[in-house]
Amino acid sequence: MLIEITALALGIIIGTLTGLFPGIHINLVIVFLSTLLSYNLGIPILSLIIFIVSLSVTHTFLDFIPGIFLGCPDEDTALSVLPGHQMLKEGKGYEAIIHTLKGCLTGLLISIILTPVFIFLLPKFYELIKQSMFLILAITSLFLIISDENKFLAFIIFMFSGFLGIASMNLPIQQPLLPLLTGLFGCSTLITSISKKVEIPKQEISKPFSRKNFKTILASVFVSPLCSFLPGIGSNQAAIISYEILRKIEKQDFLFLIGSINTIIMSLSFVTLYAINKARTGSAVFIGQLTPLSPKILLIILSTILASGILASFSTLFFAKIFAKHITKFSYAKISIIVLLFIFALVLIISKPLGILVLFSSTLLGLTAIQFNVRRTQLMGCLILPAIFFVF
Amino acid sequence: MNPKTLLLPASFTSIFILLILSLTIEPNLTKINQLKQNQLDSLIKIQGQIIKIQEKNKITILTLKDSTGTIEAVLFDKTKLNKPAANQTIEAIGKLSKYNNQLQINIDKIKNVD
Repeated sequence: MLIEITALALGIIIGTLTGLFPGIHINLVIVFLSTLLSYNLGIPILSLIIFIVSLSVTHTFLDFIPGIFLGCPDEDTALSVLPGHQMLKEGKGYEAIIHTLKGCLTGLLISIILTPVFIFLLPKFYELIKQSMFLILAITSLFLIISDENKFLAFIIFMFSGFLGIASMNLPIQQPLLPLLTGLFGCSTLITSISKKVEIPKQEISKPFSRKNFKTILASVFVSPLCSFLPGIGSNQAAIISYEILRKIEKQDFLFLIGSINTIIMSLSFVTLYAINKARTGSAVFIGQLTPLSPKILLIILSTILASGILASFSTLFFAKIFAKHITKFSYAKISIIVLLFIFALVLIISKPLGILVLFSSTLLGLTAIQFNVRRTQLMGCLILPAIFFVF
Repeated sequence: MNPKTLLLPASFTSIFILLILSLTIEPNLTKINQLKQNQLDSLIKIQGQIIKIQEKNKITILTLKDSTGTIEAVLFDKTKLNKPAANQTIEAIGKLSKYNNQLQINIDKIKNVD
């Protein structure tokens, strides 16, 4: 029992560190860990599972902090930068984190409630939903474009992003989504902040007013499960589909939505592994390689998700407060330049010079969307268009 | 000239260059035993002899062998690539993936090197 508790605690500590590290996606952490653990270290499988699950859940809670405070998101939190950065400029960065945290915690509860339904229905409906995915994505793209004020430019930006996504994914580079998404959403935001000489005001550290999130919860309940078992569909596509279903949505609700979607996708990916033996997240792939999932192991995984989610909330609140208190002590332009240099170095190390080319193109396109006042959700064409080709 | 007006053509040009590069640049040839976990989802190129062909629902699985080992390469029917014959030596480019705890390649391009 002691070793399992140690594994849980270690997972939370390391998940907190990797979550706070700008631009690092959980799959990258898992790849690194799987390489490390391929040297037989004699760790019991159950402890390893608890460690990976608690690390993954904690990471999904914490990784909104660098996205919102530093404008440096990873693959799953890319869309949170947009409303998060706006709130940061209003002195409400801490509140933005609280909304994502509420979403994450609600996502945890939804995942636990959905688990039995998922186990029962998934094997029956998997093929049917997979076949309709092309239609769902095509309709979402259409709605995304026609709901923009400047439809023509929105179409151009969506298609440019789509081709950029296709090109990036077909280049021989590692982790193509790292330069692609950090450029589109992170670097373009940071460069705009530097050029506009954005000053970050003193951040309020107060509890936000409670909001009725019924519609947002309902949307994430219906959309997120799709993304935990369908290939080519991730949390960003889920957020866009939900966004289109809900139409007008406040930025606070959007942050809540992304938080809940990320947690549901992560949690249900383990249930998917159990129900149909398909792994859709790096963490589920890793666990699937360790052992086949029995009902007992699934129960341990669900308990770990719940325990680490609750503990990760405290860790998120603690670090969000630290960021909110200290971010105004430094020049935001200097922080932005340091983060830009960090992203550049990270992309160069992981994705090599070709990755820098992707980073340059995606930043340019992100800046184009900002300058022409095209909604930046159009940039998600970089994932939606390749996904349409994939399922077609 | 307003720099804003340059952004759209500059974006178009850089994406066009990336598209051309993605069509022309091929990954370096890798030996089968050199394929590693951290290359998952990356584009790779291997060369090997087809020692087994299995036709399944909408896919063809080729077992490739080189001097260092064997690997399964999956050919999806929707890619409409020409299916090679057994014992041919081919060069396959595709994404490295994992199925049933084994590395495999999802083929995008295939070339006969006999």
